Amino acid sequence: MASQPIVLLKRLLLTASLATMVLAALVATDSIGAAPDTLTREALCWRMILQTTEGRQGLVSSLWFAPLPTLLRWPLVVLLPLPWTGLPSRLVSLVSALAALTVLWRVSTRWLPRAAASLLVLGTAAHPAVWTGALDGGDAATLSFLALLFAASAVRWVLEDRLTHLVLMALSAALLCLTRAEMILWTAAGLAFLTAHEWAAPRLPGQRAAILILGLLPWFYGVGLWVLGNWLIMGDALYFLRSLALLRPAGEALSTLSSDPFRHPLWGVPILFSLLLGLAALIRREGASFLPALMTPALLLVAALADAFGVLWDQAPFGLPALLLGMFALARSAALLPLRFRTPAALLAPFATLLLLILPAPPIPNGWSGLAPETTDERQAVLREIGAILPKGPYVRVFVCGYDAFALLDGVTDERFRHALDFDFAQAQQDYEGHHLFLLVPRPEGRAAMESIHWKFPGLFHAGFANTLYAGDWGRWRLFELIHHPREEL
Amino acid sequence: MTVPDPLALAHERPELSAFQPFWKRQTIALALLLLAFCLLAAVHPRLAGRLFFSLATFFYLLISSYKMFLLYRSVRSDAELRFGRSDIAALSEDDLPLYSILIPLYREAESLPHLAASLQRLDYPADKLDIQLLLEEDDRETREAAARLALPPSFRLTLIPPSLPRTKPKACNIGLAHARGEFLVIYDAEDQPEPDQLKKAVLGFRRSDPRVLCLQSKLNFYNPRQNWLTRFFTAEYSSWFDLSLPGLSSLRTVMPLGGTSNHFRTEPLRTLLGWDAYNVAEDCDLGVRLCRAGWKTRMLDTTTWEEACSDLGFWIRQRTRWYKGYMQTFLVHTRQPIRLLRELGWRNAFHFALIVGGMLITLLLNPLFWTLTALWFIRRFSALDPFFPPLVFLMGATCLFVGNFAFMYAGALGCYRRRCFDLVKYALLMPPYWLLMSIAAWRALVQLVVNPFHWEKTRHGLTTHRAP
Repeated sequence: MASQPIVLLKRLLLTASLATMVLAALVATDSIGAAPDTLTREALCWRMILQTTEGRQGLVSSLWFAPLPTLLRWPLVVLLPLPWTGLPSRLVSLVSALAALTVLWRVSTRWLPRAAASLLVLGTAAHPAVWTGALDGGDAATLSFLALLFAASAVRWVLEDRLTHLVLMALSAALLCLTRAEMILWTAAGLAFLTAHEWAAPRLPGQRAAILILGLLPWFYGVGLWVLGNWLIMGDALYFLRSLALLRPAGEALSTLSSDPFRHPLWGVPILFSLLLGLAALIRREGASFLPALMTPALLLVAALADAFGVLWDQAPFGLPALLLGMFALARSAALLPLRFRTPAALLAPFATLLLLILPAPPIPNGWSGLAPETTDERQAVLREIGAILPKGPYVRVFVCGYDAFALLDGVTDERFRHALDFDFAQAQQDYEGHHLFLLVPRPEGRAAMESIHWKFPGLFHAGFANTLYAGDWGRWRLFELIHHPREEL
Repeated sequence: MTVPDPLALAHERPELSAFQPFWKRQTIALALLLLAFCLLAAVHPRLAGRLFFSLATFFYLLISSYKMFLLYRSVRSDAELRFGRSDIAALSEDDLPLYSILIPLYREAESLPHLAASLQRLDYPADKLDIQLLLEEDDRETREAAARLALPPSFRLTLIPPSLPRTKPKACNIGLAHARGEFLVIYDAEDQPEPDQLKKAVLGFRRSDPRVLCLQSKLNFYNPRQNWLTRFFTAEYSSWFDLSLPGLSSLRTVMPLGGTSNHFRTEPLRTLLGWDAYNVAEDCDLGVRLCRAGWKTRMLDTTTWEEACSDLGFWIRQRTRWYKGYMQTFLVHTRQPIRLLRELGWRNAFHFALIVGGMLITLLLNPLFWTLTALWFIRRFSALDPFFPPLVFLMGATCLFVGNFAFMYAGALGCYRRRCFDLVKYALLMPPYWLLMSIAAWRALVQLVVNPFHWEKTRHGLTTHRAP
C-alpha cells in the first residue's frame, strides 16, 4: 500500500495537471469561436434571473430551444456575471466534454487493456472535433455525454442486470429529451429496443413491469415536464409543438443549409465502427451489442430526418455524439474479439492507426444555416438605427420577436424596445393604447423560421398584413409599423 | 449483587439524556429566535416572508441533494458488509462466541409463540445463545404465556420491576446488565430475523475495524401487501434500509439506528451506559452517542422481517413516537453545540444535522408548502410572488418537480432492490403517505411539549402473514 506522502503527491500532481489543462483550455477559447446559441442562452438566463415574462417563456416555449442547456448555464451566469464572454457556456461544455471522456474511459477499461483504452480516450480527446465541442459553449458536448451515458448504461444493463445501469440509462434518456428535441426520437428508439429485450428476457413475476416502469418513467416524466411547463407558463400545453405545423419536406424547406453535413469524412468513421460492432455482435450472437451498433446509425437517421424537413440548422450537436458513440462501438467491438486478439500489443496497433486516420480530419462544420449571430457592434447599430427612425416621445413601442431578441436586447435599457416571444396583436394594442406600435421580426431562415411569430402569422415577414406597414430592414430584422389590430390571426 | 441502574445515563450523564427535554438555554434561544422573527414580520413583513421562504427553499434543496447523494453512495461495494454462504460455512461452531439476545416485551402474549419459533430457527448453536425475554413484572398475561411455552434452556425471563419511565430502553438496560454474551442484539416481539443473521454479525465484527461497535441489519416487512398502508410502509422502509442507510454506512458517519436488529459489542455498549430510558427513539439516540464516543456503525447485509402496522390509527401513533424520539435526540445532542462539534467533527455533525434535524424540519414544513403549491396551481395565487425572488423560485421549482419525483423514484428503486416488484408502482403514489408522515410529525411536536415520555405502544398481530 502506498505511503501517505506518495498518495498525497499523486493527488497533488493530478490536481495540478487537471488545473493546467483547464486553464490552457480556457486560454485557448479565444481561438475557438462560440457556438451560435451561446450568447442567446446566456441572455435568456439573465431574463430568468430578472424574472421577466420572456425569461420564463424562453425556457420552455420552443421545441428548438430545449430547457436543460439553459438551466445548466443558469447557476454559472449567476456566479460569473460576465456578459458577452460566453464563459459560463464554455465551462458547461468543457465539463460536459470531460464527463463524456470519463464515461468513455470507464467503459473502455472494462473491455480493453488499460493501454489500449488510454490510447482510445486520449486520441479521442485530442481530436479537433472534441476540442471544439468542449470549448465552444454549445450543446454538442452535453449531448455527447448524455448519449454516451445512455448507450453505456443500456449495454451494461443488458449484460449485467444491475439496477444502477437501468437508473442511469433512464435518467440520461430523460435529460437527453430536455437537451435537444430531436433526441426524443433517438431515445424513444433506444428505449423501444430495450423494451423488446425485456419482453424476451426471462424475468420473475412482476419484474418485467417493474423494470419497464423504472426504465421508461423518467423519459415520460421529462417530456411531461416540458408539456407541463408550457401549460403553466404559456397557457397552452402544446405551445412548443405548434411550430411543427411549419415543417415541410426538403423541397419546400424553409431554410437551406450552407453545407451538406453527410459528406464530411468524420461521419464515416463512427458508421464504420458501428458496422464493425454489428458484425462482431452477429458473429458472436451477442444481442447486447446490437444496441450500441445501431445507435450511431440511428443518430444519423434522426439528423437526416431533421435535414429532410429543413430543421438541421446546426450539425455539430450530432457530429460529436456520433464520433464518441463510434469510439464506444469500437471499444465494444474489441471486447467481442477472441481472447487471443485482445492482448495489449494486438490492440495498440489498430488504435494507433485509428488515431493517424482521424486526427487530421477537421471538425464537422457547424453548418449554421443562414443567419449568423450578430456581433455586439452590429447589434448596437441595429438598435441605434431603428431608434433613429422611430417617432419622438415616450409613446412608442417596438416589439422584438423571437429568441434572437434575447441577444439583441441584452443589456439594452431603452424602454421603447420590448421583447415579445409570444406576440399578441390585440393584447399589445390594449396594453399600449394610444402608442405608436412597431414589430421587429427576424427573417424566417434557419431556426428563426420556427419562431412563434411565423407560425402564428404565416407570411408576415414577406407579405405583411393588411394592418402593417413595412418600415425597413436591418440585417436579419424587418420592421413593421402596426396601424390597426390585424384581421388575420391563427 | 448490585442492582443495575437502568437510568444510569440520566444519572451519570444528564447532558446526554432526554430526561429534561429542553434545556433552559435552548428554550431561551428558541424564544429569542421566534421573537426576532415576529418583530421583523411586524416591521417588514415582506422581508420576513422572503427570508423565511428563501431559507426554507434552500433547505429543501439541500436535503433533496443530500438524499440523492446518499442514494448514489448506496450502490458502492463497501456500503454494506456482505457475506456469502461459503463465508458462513467456513465458520466453526466451536469458534462462535456467546451471543446475547434481548427481547423487550409488553403485552405481547399472542406474539410469543411465533417469536420463540423464529428464534429457534436461528442458525446458531443453542448452547451459545443467551436469550432474555424482558418482561414487565406486572405484565401477567405475557408472563403466563411465556410460562406455558416449553422454552429451551437458552431462554430466560428477566423481570423488569415496575418503575417510571416504563419504556423499552429501560428494559433493555436491565437486560444489558444481565447479558453474558460477547455480542448482543435487540429484537422486537414480532421480529423474524434471517436464520444466518447472528453468524453474519460475528463475521462482520471480526472482519471490520475494532472501532465498529454496532452492525445494523436491514428491516423489512412480511406483510407488505396486506393493504395500501403496508405497501407504502414497505416502499419507505425499502428506500431507507436498502438505499439511504447503506449510503450513510459507506460514508462511515453517524447513523440513526433502526429500532431492532442492532448488533453490538456488549462490553463497549456498557461503557456508553446503554440506552437512554427517557428517549422514545432510543435507537436513534444511541447511534449518535456511539459516534460521539468515537465508535462506528456499519450496515450488515441481512434482513429482519417485521410486521408492518396495517392500521392507520396505530401507524400514526407509532410514527408519532418515532418522530418525537428524533426530536428528543436532536434537542439532546444540540444542547452543547461546541462540544458536539468537537466530538463528532464538522463532517459528522453535518450529517447528523441533515439526517435527523433535516428530516424533521422537512416533515414539519411540508404541509405549508403543499398548501401554497396547491393554491398557486389552482388559483395562480400571485400574492406569494414577492416572497419568491427568482433564485428562490427556481430552487423551489426544482425541489417540486425534480426533488419529489426523485423521492418517489427512490422508493420504487428500494422496492425493486427488495425484490417487491409489484410494489414499484405503489411507490410512485407516495405523496399521500408523505402527508400522513407530516401529520405524525406535528403530533410529535405537540406531544414533545405536553407529554414527552409518553410511549404509544404499537399493536402487533394484525396480520397472519409470516416471513418468506
